[in-house]
Amino acid sequence: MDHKIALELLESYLFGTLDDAERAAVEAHLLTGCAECTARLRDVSELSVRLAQAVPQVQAPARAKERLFDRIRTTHHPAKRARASSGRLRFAWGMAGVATAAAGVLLWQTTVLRDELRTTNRLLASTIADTGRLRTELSTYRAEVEKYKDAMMLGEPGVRFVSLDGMEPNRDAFGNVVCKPDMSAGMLYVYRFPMAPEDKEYQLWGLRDGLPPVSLGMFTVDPNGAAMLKMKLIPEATHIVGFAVTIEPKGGMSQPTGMMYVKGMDPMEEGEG
Amino acid sequence: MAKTRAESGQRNDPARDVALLRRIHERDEGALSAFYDRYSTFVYSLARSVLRDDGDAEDVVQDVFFRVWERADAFDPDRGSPAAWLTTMTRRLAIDRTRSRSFRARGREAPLEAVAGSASDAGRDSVTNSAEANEVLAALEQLEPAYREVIRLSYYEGLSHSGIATKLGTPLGTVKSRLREGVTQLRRILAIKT
Repeated sequence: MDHKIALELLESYLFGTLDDAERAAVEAHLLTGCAECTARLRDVSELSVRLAQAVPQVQAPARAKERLFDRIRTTHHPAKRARASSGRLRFAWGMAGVATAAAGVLLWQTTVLRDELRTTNRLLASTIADTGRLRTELSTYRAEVEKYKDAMMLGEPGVRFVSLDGMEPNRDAFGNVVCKPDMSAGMLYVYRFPMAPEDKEYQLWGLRDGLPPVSLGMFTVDPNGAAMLKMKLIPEATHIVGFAVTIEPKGGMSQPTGMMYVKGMDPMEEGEG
Repeated sequence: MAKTRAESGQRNDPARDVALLRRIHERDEGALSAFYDRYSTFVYSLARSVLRDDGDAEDVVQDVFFRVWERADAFDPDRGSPAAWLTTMTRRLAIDRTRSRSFRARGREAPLEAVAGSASDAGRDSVTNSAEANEVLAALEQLEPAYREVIRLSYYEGLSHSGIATKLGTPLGTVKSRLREGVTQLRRILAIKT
């Protein structure tokens, strides 16, 4: 704003009658450190106080003070420390020349920006942590969705259901295999399995008529001896007539080498055979 | 509402006020309480004169002292005393409130019918007026009517330059020059020195 215009508006600025744009323009001009305008402002400001004293004096309601202190005690101010530095500058009576004021503004801005940067960094770290947590939750939910999708497979027409019985010396163990007719997807559920040694895992096999068994996946059991395994996609040409589970070295084997825990034959395949 | 005599004598202590503002800036609630006690009547009365509504005036008191608490560092001694800072802040917040849609909807578009609007009718019968107040009113009486009217419309009715020009049917430039000259004369009459 032009100095002359600012000077014309100072009375109204003090009287509070400028609109927002004019007020902002006068403020901006004063921040340039204009000595004449600042001096005029100081001169007129005391007259403004005297004019205010001419209105009848009425005490504010007592509750107003209570409301004020309730308000300040319930308001959070994360950026307060940044302003603390600027305050000390402003309180330097009579010490502020134009250069000092400019340096003060810069220091104030630097302090505020530094504080905002710290706040932003904290928010960023918090956001990253939240993102990681949400990703984990999303994976869990996706797994749940997949589980339900698998369970829904049970209701599809033509689904194959094979019971697996425990073998000596683990006769209590049992399980079930549910799979689509074309063997494009299937689930294994087992129960009452002993915990496998650390270097061992259970391996599910597809038993084929006249052909070597084919591996359908590895799994471990929970402390209750239960497990669920989503079977590998089985090529359509594969002719599976039954299923078996053996214990094998970790990572699995190409053919069964360990003790068999459960086994079951598809009744439909047996009937055909 | 209880009325009290103005506390102008107590207020006339800028050094003490500045010390309080420093402590407020350091989050000293006791200092805010003391500052409030010194100025709440002044702020409330000024806001009430602008708004002519006790509830709105109380809200302005809240906003003014909350800003003092939040931004005590914004006080700049180069621009005037703490009382002047409060005066400007109070008037601004009150006038902004009169410009709000809800305020206008309540029929107070021209709210500032002089509480101390003219030297002849302003509060002379009020027990609350101090000798200082009467001195100001007497000073206004000494002004040429054209100057007094512009000051009255600007300060006590809160009109902008253009608002005054429209109301008086006077060119905008004349309003500006009268306001400035009127303020200069009034300062001289009141022997205000800074």
